[in-house]
Amino acid sequence: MAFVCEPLSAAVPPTLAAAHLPASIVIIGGGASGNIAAETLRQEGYPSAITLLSADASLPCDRPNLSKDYLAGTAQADWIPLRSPEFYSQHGIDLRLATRVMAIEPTAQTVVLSDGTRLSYGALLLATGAEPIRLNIPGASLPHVHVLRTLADSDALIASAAAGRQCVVVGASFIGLEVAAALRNRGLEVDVVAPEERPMERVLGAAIGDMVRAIHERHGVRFHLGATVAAIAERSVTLSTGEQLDADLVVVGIGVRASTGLAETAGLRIDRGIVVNEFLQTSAPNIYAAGDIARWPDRLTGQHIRVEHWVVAERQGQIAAHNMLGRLRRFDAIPFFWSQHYDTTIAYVGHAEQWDRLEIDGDPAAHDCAVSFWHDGQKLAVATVGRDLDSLRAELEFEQKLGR
Amino acid sequence: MSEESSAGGPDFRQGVLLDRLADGQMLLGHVAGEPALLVRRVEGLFAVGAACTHYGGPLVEGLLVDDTVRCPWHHACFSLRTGAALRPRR
Repeated sequence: MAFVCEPLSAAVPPTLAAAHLPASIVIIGGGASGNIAAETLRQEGYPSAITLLSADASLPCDRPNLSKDYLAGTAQADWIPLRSPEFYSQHGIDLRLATRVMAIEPTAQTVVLSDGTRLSYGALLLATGAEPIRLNIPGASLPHVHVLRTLADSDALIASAAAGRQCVVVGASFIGLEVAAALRNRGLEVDVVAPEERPMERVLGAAIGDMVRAIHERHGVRFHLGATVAAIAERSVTLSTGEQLDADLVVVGIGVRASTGLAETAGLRIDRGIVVNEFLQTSAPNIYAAGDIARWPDRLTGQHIRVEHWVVAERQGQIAAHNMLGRLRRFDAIPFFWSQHYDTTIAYVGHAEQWDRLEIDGDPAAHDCAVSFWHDGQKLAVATVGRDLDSLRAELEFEQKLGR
Repeated sequence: MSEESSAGGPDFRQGVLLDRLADGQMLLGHVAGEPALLVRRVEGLFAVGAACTHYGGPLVEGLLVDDTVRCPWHHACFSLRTGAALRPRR
């Protein structure tokens, strides 16, 4: 017989001897990577100062939810911060919100804040993330044109949606379509405009792209594919095709650009992101990078890749923390993301920046399938709908291929 | 979004016959009302909370890998020995 009696108490963090550790740690960026790095450092018993600098005025938050349930109105506001405000002080993490770093001085090992203050670091983590790309067309900076990255962006969108009736979403990838679903849930009319033939086709292929389009159309979304927005006016947009759409709200989801400014000025090696090795070390001593900003060597493809997904960012933040403590842990997690479209979730493991063949098992139209993406005879990624266990198995298979 | 596994299944404090549980099998039950997972592996028996600490996903529907369990919703990974989240979240 097996008996389970009572829960074990939570593990008490060890206290690491300060001797061989960085005298202080500074983290720039209050997103997924920065936040979890700070937590992991304390979990591992790091005893010295941790400063977490965030340009955002809001607490580090659950960013995936900002385009999903929170935007749809089905999540509670208190689900959004990753930790309570007290968490940081309780764990001796000096969290400074609305704080911009103006420069990094790698030789002096200091960072300079916008008010001129200098902070020293023994180790520095750059987790500055990415910023939404904006349209460069007439009307792009009108007040009813939104991007979605921060909690403030989501709140502004929610406020506009309350007064709005007709939204044009620019872009048919993750942000665009999740916003479309959320705003349909709030009762707005939604038109999606994108240049590609099918939503998400480049990442997920034609079959899942068609599935996604069908789901959205069933929920009343209208698609204008093979088109771009040429101009935005106060109550309408004009497409490249000449067609005009009513719009009292425009949401732009056309991608993000890695925020590499600080790293560039500091002379770190940059390649559409901050280049790091397998231990997430940058080209400068004692400086690490993690999250949307980091381009690391992917063992599966032998390429350096940069991935803009939440779970990858968190796992990198954890590894960076371990490595700032002197451990040499390789970051070799298999990238994973999920994308939510009303009641249907797509799970994706791996990273197929390019693919020349895909294999479909099951029926995408029935929301029950696995699609694998191949390049040069190698399987690089698997997307699943309604097959969560298969997604876990596919992830494990990739790990085993790497010999983990 | 924070759905929890229902507190159904056996009360593990009352004991579970070992032959109900093969290696690599997860049994969903509860301990004093808290949903729990009983897992048998070659290395031994483990019991952890049944709900993922991320959004409450059902770990019993996940994947056992050595001495860890992975959540089917967003692939969080928990130690069967300590319950610690080895990979995000919390």
